[in-house]
Amino acid sequence: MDFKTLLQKIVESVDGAIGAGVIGEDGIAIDQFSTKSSFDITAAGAEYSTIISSAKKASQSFGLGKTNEVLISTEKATMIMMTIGANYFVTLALSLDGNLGRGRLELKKAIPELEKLL
Amino acid sequence: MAGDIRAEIEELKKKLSQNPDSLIFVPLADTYRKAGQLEEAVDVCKAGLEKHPSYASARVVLGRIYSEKNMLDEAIEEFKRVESVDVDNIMVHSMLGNVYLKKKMYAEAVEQFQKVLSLNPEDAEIQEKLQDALSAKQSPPAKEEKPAVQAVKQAHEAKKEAAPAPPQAKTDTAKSMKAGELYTKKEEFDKAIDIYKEVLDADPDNIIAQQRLREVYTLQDKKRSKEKEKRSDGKRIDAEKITTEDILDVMKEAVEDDKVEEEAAAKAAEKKKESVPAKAEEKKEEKKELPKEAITAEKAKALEKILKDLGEVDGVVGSFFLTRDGKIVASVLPSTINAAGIEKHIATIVERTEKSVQSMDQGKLNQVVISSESGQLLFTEVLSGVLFMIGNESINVGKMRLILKDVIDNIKKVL
Repeated sequence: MDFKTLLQKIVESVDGAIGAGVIGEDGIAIDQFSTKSSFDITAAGAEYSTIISSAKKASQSFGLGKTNEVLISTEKATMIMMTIGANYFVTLALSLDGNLGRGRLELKKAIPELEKLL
Repeated sequence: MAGDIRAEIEELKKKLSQNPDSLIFVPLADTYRKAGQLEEAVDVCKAGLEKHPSYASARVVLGRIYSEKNMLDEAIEEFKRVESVDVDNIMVHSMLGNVYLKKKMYAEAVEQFQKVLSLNPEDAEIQEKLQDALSAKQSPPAKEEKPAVQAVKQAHEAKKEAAPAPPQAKTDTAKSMKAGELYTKKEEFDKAIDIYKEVLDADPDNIIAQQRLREVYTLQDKKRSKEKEKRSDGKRIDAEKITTEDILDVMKEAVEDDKVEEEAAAKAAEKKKESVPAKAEEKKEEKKELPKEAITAEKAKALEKILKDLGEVDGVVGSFFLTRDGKIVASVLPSTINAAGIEKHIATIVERTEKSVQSMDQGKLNQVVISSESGQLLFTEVLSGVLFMIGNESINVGKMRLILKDVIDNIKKVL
């Protein structure tokens, strides 16, 4: 299975999912799948990587060790980011009424597969 | 595979032509790079950078392309540009380290790899590269196999040019510990903390240094709360020394009370119009613009009470509330966490996250939950400040969010 198929599977199995992507720590998107044309992970990659890097710093400041997951809720959407190894992360964007629990579960399930592809 | 890349390039080119001002030029340049079309990659990247000169990701990609083209000075220049605006960019440090290695500039490579490891100590690949850079830099081979931690320790020493022999290191530790004690006695806690941290950087298992560091943090906390009390007492007693901030405090409190009493509200509105007309409207809309002094000593106490109650919840390790400019106004934290030392740092993290969310057009940031190996960290905006909550491994994201709901309501009541 390739990245896009895997990401599509995640998005399609979560209610309210808008899109998903695999991004490098440097903000370069590896692949993405979205149900809305307005959702462009490739362009947002740099911002996502800034958030992940901020989260890692915060985590280190409090001695909490390696960051596994970041959950962000905003006025318009909810974003889940999960790290894949040291240099990549997978992200899933959900609408406000999206199923957050399901989204986290699907991402967790997909990580071993994504690790194999990276 | 080659066909896939070609298709990807075509798709990205199409997107770029549809929207020439978009940031899509970055993935396009990077895809060209992956396809080995380095000239095209440079052209696309440079053209994009003319429109978006401060787009760091594009500079990273351009640096990477230069590096592959063996244009190492140009690569360094690009990476350094990013480094100057984003000092903690792990990828840039790693790439700079690689380029320096290629250029046989080992001291610089060591410095960069060391920066990567300070941000991500578990990066095995960089640990290995650091070892290589160190052994290339120090011609006399020191020891055969060293664990990762020791490699970082060595990097610190290498930075100081001379590599001290182990017995010397022991004397240095003893001297540092002595200096730490002296600074503690002189109540110069920041200096003492720096010294003990340095000792622990070199020897993370030094139990005495760990213990002393904890003690210093506790002493520092006590000193800070005493100073806080003094300050608030002073405010109450010394009426002659009323500052503008105090006047603002009183005004803001008055405005809060006025909301309840309609008559007083009318008067307050009039007064506000007379003195600071613009501020009256800002205040009604949101409290974001309130200066940190708006949180009076009394409010801080009430906040501390809320945080103490929160600390009673199973799994909650600590919490604190800070103003937008990074000043902690109330905190309930274990002695192992030095809130004072990290407040500015944390404020920057919140600000960066907010900016990122805004630039993705996602509206206002409500809440961030960070799950890590040994616990969870949650922060959320509450009126004029930000609430942080730290949980251990036993508490899950769902529970943290649930607890927080009540806490936010209580904080809003206080503020």
